[in-house]
Amino acid sequence: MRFKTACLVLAALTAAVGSNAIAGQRNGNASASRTHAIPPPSIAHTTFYIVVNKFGRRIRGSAGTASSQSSDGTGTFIATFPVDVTNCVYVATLARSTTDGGSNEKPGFISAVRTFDNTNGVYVETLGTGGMDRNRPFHLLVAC
Amino acid sequence: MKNTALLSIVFAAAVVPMAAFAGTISGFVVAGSDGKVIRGTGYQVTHFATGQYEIDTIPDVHSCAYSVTAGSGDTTVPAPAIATAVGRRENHTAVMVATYGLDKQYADAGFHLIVQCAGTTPGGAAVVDPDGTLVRGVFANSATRTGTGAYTVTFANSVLASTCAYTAGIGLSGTLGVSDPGFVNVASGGGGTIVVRTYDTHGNATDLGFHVYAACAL
Repeated sequence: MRFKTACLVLAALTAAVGSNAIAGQRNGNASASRTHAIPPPSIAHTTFYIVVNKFGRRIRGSAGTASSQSSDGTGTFIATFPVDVTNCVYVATLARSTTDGGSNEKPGFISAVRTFDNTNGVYVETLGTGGMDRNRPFHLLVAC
Repeated sequence: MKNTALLSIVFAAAVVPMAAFAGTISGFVVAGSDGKVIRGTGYQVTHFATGQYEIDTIPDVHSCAYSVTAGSGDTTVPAPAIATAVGRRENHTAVMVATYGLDKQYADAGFHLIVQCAGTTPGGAAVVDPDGTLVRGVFANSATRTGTGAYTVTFANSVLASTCAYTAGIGLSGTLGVSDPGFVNVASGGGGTIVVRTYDTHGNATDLGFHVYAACAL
């Protein structure tokens, strides 16, 4: 957890405890508990996928998927799926979204986490090589 | 592309055992830093320039998603590297993979590429916390932190490490905040175990949570 994130959470909680004014993954849902129990195997496992451009637009993907840029700003996106993804696995890759290809995608960093306020959502953050937030296209697999 | 580079070497998956998954267009390939196919579903790999690879997939895969992670196909633990992907322009049966080193410049690196075109059952998947705790997964048995930024994940499939492709991404297990950024690379641990290494943005081994996905029979 980055320090600035922790500071933002603390500051937001101090300023607005009990209100709904706190929005955004980085501010987070500080009261959310983390699940550490391994869920029992489900009967049917499957994989969803979505391809998102640097503006947050869904280019293609599994039926029922959608995406948008997060209100957190540059380099933050939300992808949603037709099922509860709380107990799923999210693997995100920096990759161009164009169907007709293009030049190589630049290096950078990417991470994923479930959104704090939507059990069907995955929050993706993309950064440049210097660690600064940058809008970058990505491909995301979600295994449930 | 592969015909334009005189020094290119094409490694055909036909020369190594490959899984037969007729009727689907999803697939995967694990390739070495020289582009040699280690295992896969029939894809061919051409290493045409430093850190740049073309993967010929035969079916049209430009409607699919590409998941790629730098790593080795065997137990060799690779140096930190980043891998990205893009469909090849005007050739919908090819995917381009680029690999970058610590200096963020093109650098040869092995990689695992999974092309996901439809909903399929994962060969395995896991979410692991920075301390090595296996939080959840699919066909995942256990996870262990073996050192700073060093992890193993063991799956139910006892030959997963040598027959599947696995990609990993940095990520948290919960819903609070976001992870520090960093590199994540993969390697085989033998049997059903894979090795995952995480690094900070400077390439220093660092404990980071990650999500890993294995494709075995797409």
